[in-house]
Order: sequence, then C-alpha cells, then structure tokens
Amino acid sequence: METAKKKRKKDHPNPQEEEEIDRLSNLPEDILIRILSCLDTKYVVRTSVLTTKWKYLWTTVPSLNFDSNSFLRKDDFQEFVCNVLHKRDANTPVTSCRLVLPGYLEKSVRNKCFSYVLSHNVNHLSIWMYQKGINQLPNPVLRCQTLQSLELINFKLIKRSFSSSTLTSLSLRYCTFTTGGRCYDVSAKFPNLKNLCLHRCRLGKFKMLKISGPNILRVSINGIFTMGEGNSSEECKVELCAPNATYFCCDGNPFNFKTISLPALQHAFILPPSYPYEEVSDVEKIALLDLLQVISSAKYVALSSYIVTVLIGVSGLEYQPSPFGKLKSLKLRGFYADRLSMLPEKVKSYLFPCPDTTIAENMRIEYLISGGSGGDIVEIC
Amino acid sequence: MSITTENNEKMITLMSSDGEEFVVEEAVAAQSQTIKHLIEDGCSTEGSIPLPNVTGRVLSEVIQYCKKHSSSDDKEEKELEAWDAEFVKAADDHVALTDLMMAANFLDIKGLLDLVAQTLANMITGKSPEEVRRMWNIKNDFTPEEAEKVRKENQWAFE
Repeated sequence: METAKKKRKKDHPNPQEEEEIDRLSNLPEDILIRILSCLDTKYVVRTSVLTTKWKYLWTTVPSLNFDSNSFLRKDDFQEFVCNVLHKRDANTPVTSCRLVLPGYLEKSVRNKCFSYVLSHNVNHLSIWMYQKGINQLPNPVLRCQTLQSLELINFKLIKRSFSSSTLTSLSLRYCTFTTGGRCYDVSAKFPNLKNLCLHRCRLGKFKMLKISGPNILRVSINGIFTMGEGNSSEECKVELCAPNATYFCCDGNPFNFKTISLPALQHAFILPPSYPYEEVSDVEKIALLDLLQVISSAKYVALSSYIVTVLIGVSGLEYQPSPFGKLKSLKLRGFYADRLSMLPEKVKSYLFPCPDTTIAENMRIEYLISGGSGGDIVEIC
Repeated sequence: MSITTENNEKMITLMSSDGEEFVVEEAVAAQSQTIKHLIEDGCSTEGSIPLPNVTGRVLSEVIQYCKKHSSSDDKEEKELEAWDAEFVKAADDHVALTDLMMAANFLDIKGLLDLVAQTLANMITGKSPEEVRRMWNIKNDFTPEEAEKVRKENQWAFE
C-alpha cells in the first residue's frame, strides 16, 4: 500500500492547485449525510457554521449519536439533547441512534429522547447507561415495530417485558435479568432473532439459557452468570440448538454448554482466556470434548491455548475421534509454533488428524502468538 | 469475457475512466452491486466493463479492498478490521479518501462506503469549525453578520 500512496502523490504534480479545492463540501449531499451519520452529533451540529451549504445539512442527518462524554457539564449535555430534538428536521427519520447516557440525566430528558427516536422509525438502537444497576429499559422500546437491532449496555431487564417479535439482532453487555424462573428461552421471547451476543450478563436465578430455532444465524457468548446464594456466581448452563447458525463464538467458560446442535456451522471460535479457572473436573473435560464434537461441522476453527492445555490433561484422548478432519483452517491462539513438537502425540493427532490425507491438504494451521498481530503460518500438506 | 483460471474462477475485465484495464475474478468484482448488476444484465459479454466514473488509480485500490473482503471466509473479524485500518491509513490524504468515497458510492460497495465514511467522520471529530475549514480548504461564505447569527443560534452545540 506504500507504493499506492506514492503513486497517488505523483498523480498530482501541482499540490498548490490541489489544495485550493474544497473536496469535502463538493461531495454530493447524500454522501456528506452519510459521513455525518458516523459522527458524534455534537460535531454534526457544529458543521452548521462552516458555510451556507452546511447551515442546515445537520438537520437532515438520519442518525443521532448522543455521547455525554463529549460534554463537561451535565446541563450542557441536557440542553444539547433537547435542542437537537427540537431543531432537527422532524420529517427525517432516525434510522440509527446511539446513546451514551449518564446516570444524572433527568428522567424527563431521557424519556423525551426515547420517545423521539421511537416515533422516528428507529432501526438500530444502542444505549449505554453509565449508572450501575438501576437502569430499566422503558417498555415502549421493545414495542417499537421498526426496531431491528438493539444493543444494551449496563441494564437491568425484567423478564416479563423483555421480548420483541421484530428484533433480528440483540446484543446485551453487562446486563442483569432480575426475575427468576429456571429457564430463560431467548427464542420464545425473540422469535425472529438472527444475531445474539451476550457479554458478561447475569441471569437472575436461571439455571438454563435456551437459544434455539431456525432463524438464529450467529451466536456469541462470553460469560453468563446465574446469581447464586450470597455473592457467588455460579454459571448458567446454555442449551443451543440452531440448525442454521453459521457462526459461534465462546470466549468465556467453555464448560457450561449442555445440549448443543449446530449442524450448519462455518466458523467456530472457542477462545477462553488462558488459565482463568481452577482445576478442570472430569465433568468439565467431557463437556469440552462434547462441545468440540459439536463444532466439528465448522470449516474454520480457532482455539485458545487454554483449550490445548485442557486437552493435554484429558486421559484417554487418544481414543476420542478427532472433530477436526473436515477443517479448512485451524488457528491456535496464543500458542507458540515451537510448542507444537512438544505436544503429546494424543493431542497432536486429536487436533491434526491424518496430516497426509487429501482432507488435510486444505488445512492451514496458523500460530498466532499471544498479544502480537503477526505470527508464522505453517502449511501442513 | 469468459476467461477462466486454473481454479475455474470466472474472470472479468474492468476498464477505468482513463483506459486502464483490470482483470479480476467475478466474485471479487461482484462485491460492487453496480458491477454485479452490469454482469447480470449481460454487459460483460463483449469486451470489458467500462467504469466511466472511476480512475485507474482509485479502481486499483477498490479492487484491493474487494479482493481482501471476498476471500475473507477464513478470516476473523478482528483481522479484517486491522486490515481495513491499515488500508484507510495508507489512503489518509483527503483527496484519496474523497475519491475513494465517490467510487464506493458509484460502485455501491457497502462495506467500503461505511469504512471510508467513518474514516472521514473521525477526521472531523474533536475539531473546531476553524480547524475543519483549514483542513479541507473550506471557504467561509457567510457575511460577518450571518456568521454571528448562525453561531448564536447554535451556541448550545459549542459549550
């Protein structure tokens, strides 16, 4: 790409002339609006003073990005939000809205904000609440018929009201479900869901999280906790049955999957961080082997070095069928290439079965050294 | 154009506004909705597909992007993101980015459009209007009175 850049410079022999042109304002209006849609709304409004062309452009941007971190004083942020909602073009929909809201935000301002975006056909909504624990999602949000994707960060969710029939993407980070029951069935609550991402969520007293159905395409799970007695966090079991899912990523505890079936899988990433847990029990080892069997339909698999470590400790691994015969690529993350020769034979033949068959010709093993961006790629043929 | 390679990939030829020709796999070019529709409409059967709005210099970069993203099957999202970041960094002068934006828009490549739009947006974030004007040679065409008026009206965005 370095050469491409040099070439570009050469193509413009007269930089003086080049610099006279206002290439930004000269872009067609729809492109400018597309650029402004990616911008913090504070800086979108500020473009109004650039030139006469820009004066009202901000009012027709179909995206709102309110970030309280862009303001020093709370009154300024509240005033800003109210002004934008009041002065932007009311006929322009808000297709996408990202809110980073502080705990101090007055409830009236917050509700005004929600009802504005909900009445403007919002498709994508992302809300990040700063204050811990007490944030509840206003009921109208999930009743919004235009909503397709929803991301919530740091919310407390009440089971009964937390459902939607229109939503196709749901991402929950640091969220807590407050009411009990033994099982939470995501698919029953969100029948049209295609993409699900759960990151460090607490599931009330649930013992089981159920994700199933033909619509589910991508699932990403990182650490789900059940709130046990006292403050201990016992992890909830996950039941996954998604016949059409092509993508599965687990970067938390890999031992808590119970029934899982993912026959259409293409990409599987089992990437728990290194050595986070106590001694791995036999039950957990079996759960891991089961999980690895389930992802055997995938073509591209990545495993963290922790998985390799656990496999070393599995007695009788040599009698287990390798799930990795059909792979196009296997990546071992955080694993040094020179450790490959030091691996016990049983682990090698489990991870890389029959390296001289035609199947294995397509298999690429990539060693990514932890934390680094590069790594050697070793072709095994 | 019905050249096929050893891998049985169908190749097509794209011709830039300045007459430069690029032979690429159909699957790579078809990431552009515009090209995809041209192929479907049979415009690729005789000679190459002309792209009168895109210069060879810009087209070669667009193709670079499409190649990376069409063979992305075995790449993790993080790897692609890192590649994208390098890609726009290499194109970080304004001229290249606006040209790339126009090309992505004409060729209708959503991923590239989003990437370049975000990059251009990041160049505006955190800057005062004066800095944005300087950066892009934007000539202030407000009269001093108008300028003050519009600044006053939107003062709430400058706190």
